[in-house]
Amino acid sequence: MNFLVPLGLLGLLGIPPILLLYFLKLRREERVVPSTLLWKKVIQDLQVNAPFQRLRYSLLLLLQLLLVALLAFALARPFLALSAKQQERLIFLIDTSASMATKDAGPSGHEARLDAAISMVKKKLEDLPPRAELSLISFDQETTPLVNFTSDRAQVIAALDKLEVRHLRTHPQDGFEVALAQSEEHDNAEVLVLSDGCFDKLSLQRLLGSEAAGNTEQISQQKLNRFNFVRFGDEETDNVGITSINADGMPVRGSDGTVAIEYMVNVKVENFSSKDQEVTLRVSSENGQFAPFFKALSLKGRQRDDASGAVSGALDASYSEEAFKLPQGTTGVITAALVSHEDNFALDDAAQVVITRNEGLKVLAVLSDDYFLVKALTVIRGVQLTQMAPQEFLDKWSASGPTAFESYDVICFSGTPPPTWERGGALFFDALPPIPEYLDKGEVVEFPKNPDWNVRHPVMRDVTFANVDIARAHVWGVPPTATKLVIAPGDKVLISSFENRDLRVVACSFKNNETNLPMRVAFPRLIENAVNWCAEASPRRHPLSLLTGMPLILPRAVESLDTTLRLPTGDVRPVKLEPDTRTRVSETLHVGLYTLDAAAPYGRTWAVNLCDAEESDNAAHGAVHIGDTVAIQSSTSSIQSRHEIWHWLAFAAMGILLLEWCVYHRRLGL
Amino acid sequence: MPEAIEPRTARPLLTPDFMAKLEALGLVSKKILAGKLRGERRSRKKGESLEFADFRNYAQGDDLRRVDWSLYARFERLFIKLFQAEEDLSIYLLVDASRSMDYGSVNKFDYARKVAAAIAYVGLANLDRVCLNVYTGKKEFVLNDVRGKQQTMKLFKFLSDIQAEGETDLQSATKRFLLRHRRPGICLVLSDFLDPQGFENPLRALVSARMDTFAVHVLAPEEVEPNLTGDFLLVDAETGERLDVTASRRLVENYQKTVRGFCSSLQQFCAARGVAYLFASTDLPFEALILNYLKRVGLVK
Repeated sequence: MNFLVPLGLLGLLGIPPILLLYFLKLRREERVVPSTLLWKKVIQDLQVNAPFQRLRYSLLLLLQLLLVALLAFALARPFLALSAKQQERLIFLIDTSASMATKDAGPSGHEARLDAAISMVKKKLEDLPPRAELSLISFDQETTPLVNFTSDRAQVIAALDKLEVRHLRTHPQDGFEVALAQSEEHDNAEVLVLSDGCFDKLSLQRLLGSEAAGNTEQISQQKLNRFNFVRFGDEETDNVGITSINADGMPVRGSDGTVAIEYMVNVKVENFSSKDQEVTLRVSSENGQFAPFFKALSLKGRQRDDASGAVSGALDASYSEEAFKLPQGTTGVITAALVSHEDNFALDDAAQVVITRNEGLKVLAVLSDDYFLVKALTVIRGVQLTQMAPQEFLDKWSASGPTAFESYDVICFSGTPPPTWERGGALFFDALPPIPEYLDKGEVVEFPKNPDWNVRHPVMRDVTFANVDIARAHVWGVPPTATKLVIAPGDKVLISSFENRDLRVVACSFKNNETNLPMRVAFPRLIENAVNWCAEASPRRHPLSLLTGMPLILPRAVESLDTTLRLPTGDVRPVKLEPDTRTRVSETLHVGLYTLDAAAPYGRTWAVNLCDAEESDNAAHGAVHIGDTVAIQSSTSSIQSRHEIWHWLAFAAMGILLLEWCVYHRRLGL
Repeated sequence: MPEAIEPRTARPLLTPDFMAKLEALGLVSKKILAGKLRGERRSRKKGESLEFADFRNYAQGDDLRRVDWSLYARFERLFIKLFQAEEDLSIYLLVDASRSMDYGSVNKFDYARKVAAAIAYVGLANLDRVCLNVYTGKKEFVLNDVRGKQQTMKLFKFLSDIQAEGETDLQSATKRFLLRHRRPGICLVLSDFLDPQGFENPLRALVSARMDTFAVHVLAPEEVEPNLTGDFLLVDAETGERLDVTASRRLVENYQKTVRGFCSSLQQFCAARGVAYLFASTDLPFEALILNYLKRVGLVK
């Protein structure tokens, strides 16, 4: 047992005065007896310890001494050391992901998990020896080393005070790896993982690196033993949340031939609690363009496996996918929110989507003679097709550059490629994409047999190359990161797709009139898929509805423009729009609306949502699983290094005081 | 007006009714003891009572009035007719009047002198010789050779006038008593026997002097089962010696055990030497003691 205030033991000095007073003020009642002869015999043996014999049966004195001793001990604030180890170096690995915003932790049970973790770390700092060195790492989608090993408590506390929940998903692997690396560099420092454990199991192989395969299980265990997991939050949750929202536009051609988009807002609501929940979903427009939709949902509870926390039972009854058809012409922010329901995790109780476009895809076909391609593009629903001769295109390109074609979502080149292609979506038929590492090998393949095709790529959805003959095709070298969609024997790529941050292209190395593909039903499907996939890279199609952690891509301006971006937190951040590049803002750390304060055509609003079922499934896990075999169980003993017991001593002292009162007044004797 | 305190000496020791009951009793000795005067008890000696004892040949000088002339007519020889002699009985009452006897809600000394008075009265009523020895430490109050009921008041006054004082010294008291009284008799010792020098020697001396000894062990109930809890300063009534005692339940139990052991050892000592032992707690009415318990031990009939 140790004492926080050893000076309190000075209270024990109160015992000698009590003993002194006892002996000095002991008033014995005189009692005349016929003879002390027999009394002497009786106490003969007791007189051997005469000084203590007086004390032995004086219950009141004993109670008084005990009372003083207990009070003295209570003043000294004794505590039981719960952790045998006195950590010299300690790494705090703190989870700051979205689920840590759940308000079900702390002594009250209504404190946010991260706040409870921070409080506990601060308490732990008081218990550690002054020379102990501490490291602080936070992890969510990213891993951020906040404080490297230092014994400066103020620095650690300042870093803790700045910590806040980032509405991001959890990727703990990097955090664990960084912590393990730090631990190995600093005398195998202990790692305290403060989290709710709401993430999938970690990769043992990645965590231990190449050693994992070669090392014995004992060594692996030795390394992992440095990790101590302290769980925050309940293993039971009452959360119901929106885990998905999108607005799908369906082109509708008007009587005048113009194409408009009718939007369907799809919302997925999931119940993550074990109890059945009744919630009402409301879908409304920011500017009141339509009367809000209300939909009452009855969601079944989920049953979890106690050991692993995995969800079992009928999942399909625990969620509901609802679609709301918006009136034609609706634009702006559409908000889906759960009303008449309150849970401890508010981040997923609402989600928003921004609708800005109300027109179909604009496709430019640069070709001179490709009947089948034009026909296939024409039949795609909602596409506004424009045809342009290759020479005209090149003239315009040389006159105005690529900005002259930014009004198109997708450009299809047949036979003639553009001089360069750096951004946007494009289809290339018998035209080598002007993209680095796309090379013409100068070979030609004729009637390749049994081509293989990638059915998993969106471009190849519902497309088959069986019974497709190709009379002649070029053999192109493709970038290593390109996806080979159709391959002839000998690894000769016939169709490939390539995408990077700015562009999406689909390249086809044969002419449409040198194959029977256009005669197949797969052809219009392939063209539609390719157009839709490439349109995602269109500057006009940069999404305004994002998930947290995804970057905001600001528009290019004609001239450099300094403006501001308003964040959901109310903060305003200065941003600069450049003419040559699109500014990216990656700090979408909070759900809500991000608004670029600029005049048209630059001003716009983004809706950033959590929409992550893993974060919404915020029932805390009792263990962190690493690989298939290792589970670090949650234990508070590693964070609670002491347990004060002064209050129990105070209670005991009060009890003894009461007992003394009874003895005194009833004159009880033992 | 406060009630006048009646002097203790004026209080009668025995009530007339009880005295009437006592007159029907007589003291019994297991031994036939030689008396000093003619009394009402049969003696080993041949005497002049009406009870025939034996014949013997006539010797010169015998009283001719005792010759049995009928036998002379038959045997033509002279025979003297012998009769049982009747003698008185000596009753010795040794009463402890030390300070230790002046204790108890029913005072031990009062109790002892009432018992002594009753026994003495029985003796007087039977023309026995009663000797009262009341010893108080070094001092001794003696009333010798009282005989006949007319001495009753004198005896009562003698007992009433004595105050308990001094220390218990059974041995010296017995020694002085035996020096004065060599004639055997019934010796009744009334004491608490709380003598630091022990009770063995005095009782042994009485037995050696052929006394038919009765030990009446007088104790107050407060002595046997003291009601003590807490811290006490016990003061010895005789010596004034002080003893600090923290009276726990265990200590009191040990004391009670010691008292029982003390009584038991006295009883065993008496039984081994033919001394009748009678434990007399002062909460026992002394009339019951005389009429019932003393009968049981064979002192009275």
